[in-house]
Amino acid sequence: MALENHEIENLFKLSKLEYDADIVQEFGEKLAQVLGYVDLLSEVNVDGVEPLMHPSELTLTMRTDVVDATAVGRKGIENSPAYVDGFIRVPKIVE
Amino acid sequence: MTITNLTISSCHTDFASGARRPSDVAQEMISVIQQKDEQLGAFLSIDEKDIMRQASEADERYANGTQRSPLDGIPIGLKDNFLHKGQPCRAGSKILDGFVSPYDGGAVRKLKEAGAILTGRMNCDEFAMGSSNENAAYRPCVNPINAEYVPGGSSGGSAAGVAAGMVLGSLGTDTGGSIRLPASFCGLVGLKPTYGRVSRFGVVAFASSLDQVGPFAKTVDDCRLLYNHLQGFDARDTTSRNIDEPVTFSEKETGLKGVRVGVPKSFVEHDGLDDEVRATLMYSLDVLKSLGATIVDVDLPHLKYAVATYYIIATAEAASNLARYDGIRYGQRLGETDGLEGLYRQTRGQLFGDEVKRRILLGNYVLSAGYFDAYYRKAQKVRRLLAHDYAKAFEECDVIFGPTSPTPPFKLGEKAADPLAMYLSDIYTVTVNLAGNCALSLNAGFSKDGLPIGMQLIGGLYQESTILNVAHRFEGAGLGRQQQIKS
Repeated sequence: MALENHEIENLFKLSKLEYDADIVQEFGEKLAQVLGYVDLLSEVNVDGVEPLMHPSELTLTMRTDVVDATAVGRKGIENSPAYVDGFIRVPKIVE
Repeated sequence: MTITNLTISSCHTDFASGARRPSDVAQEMISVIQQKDEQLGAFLSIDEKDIMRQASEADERYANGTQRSPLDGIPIGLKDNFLHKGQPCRAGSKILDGFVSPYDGGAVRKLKEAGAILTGRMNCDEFAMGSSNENAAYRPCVNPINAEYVPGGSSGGSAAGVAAGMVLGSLGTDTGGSIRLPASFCGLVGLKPTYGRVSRFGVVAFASSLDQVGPFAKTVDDCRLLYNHLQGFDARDTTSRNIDEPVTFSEKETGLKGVRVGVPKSFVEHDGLDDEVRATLMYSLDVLKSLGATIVDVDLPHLKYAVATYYIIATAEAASNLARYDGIRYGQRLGETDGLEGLYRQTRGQLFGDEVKRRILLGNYVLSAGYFDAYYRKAQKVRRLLAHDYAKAFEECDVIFGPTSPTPPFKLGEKAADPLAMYLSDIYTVTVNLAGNCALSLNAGFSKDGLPIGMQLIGGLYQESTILNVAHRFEGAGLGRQQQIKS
């Protein structure tokens, strides 16, 4: 299944990935190959079949709402590539 | 017994008798890593000082009789996607360079409680995406049995390190075969437990409804020991099942009388199954028969659709999970002077590898308006059919037998340029993740080129005891790696 270049470019934009013409070409070809393969599913009759979103369809367990030692606080902030005084620094967003 | 031939159980026996100390073994293992790993590439980093600190504490526990478990003092490696407090965790990706784990994940905490020595970060495909370890961002990893071949992926470093005698066991993650495939390629035992059996808390997520944590070891008994300490409830993982069921082996029972082994036609008749793999499996099946097992025909009629289903669901979940790597909160940042959009795009565009980008693109494609029903929703429905196939098959048998990989290990570069060919090497493993079952791979023999061939035993939900017991008795019949260790 071939994809138009503008569709590939849109996917790169949606995925927040930079691209150039060569990359669009190269990734477009590989993507088309894989999409061609997964089209195999079109021959499966799934009338009346409910989607399975999770393997064991467990009821999710919720822990009690108390603060525990896994709250990472400052250590989590320090994993940011740019932080100042306990805050993550980001580029200017609002002009 | 030389250090590289030690098993977890033999090492523990030596520790308990005083024949060896944890610090002696740890020091020797560090030497093996220093000698071999430049060529092998099993590790991304080790922290020698921290290893020796842990070993010295284990020495004390054995000296005063307060050892915590059969894993106490045993060197264990961690795939680079497990959070281990104070240690780097990069999931094999440049985008997470500089990330230091702020806490321990669930599995890591359990290993620490058992007294295991956590040795270092093991190489893997970036974000666990790959079947050969060739998508590793930092350094290649090769097969310790023959360096021209891949170790399998994505937990390739975890397998290569155990097979080369650098650690006695390791942890990997299995989203579509990433424990079983490298276990097969490196001649080891690798277990993918039932979804919900082992905590995923503190593991870098790839595809959350498929990911599962599991062990690598040289023997089935070692695999059982590791599994017993990993399994069980963790309140911090909302999908964790609240049951505690360690596995025991019966010393009296060595045969398989009364055990029904199902062989799916679609496994054996698959066009891509290599002749040597088929012949090895047929021989293994005879061994199971000779042990008293009853062989029954079962069918998984939707096997043909498994890889397509898997790559739609796994990439959709991956595209969502990997949205968090935005250059703001973790790891590395590029393009700061080009505004927020420029920062996102340059960070992700330059620091994710090609395979990760391909999967993000495919995932976002199948989730996008207009294609959601045709791809993603459809795949979820086929997933139910696959799960139903298994449920039906397990009405007829106790364990399903088949190959782990359609081929013996392949050469480095052989499939690297063809993502689809690489995806198809997962044909026998992905169904298990889609259905949530447990499965293990263990060595069944070797190809004429001396490369390991694995066989897979698949169990129903929460049937780890069944597959480990069958594997143990198969191994006891004198096949596979156990014999190499004894010799």
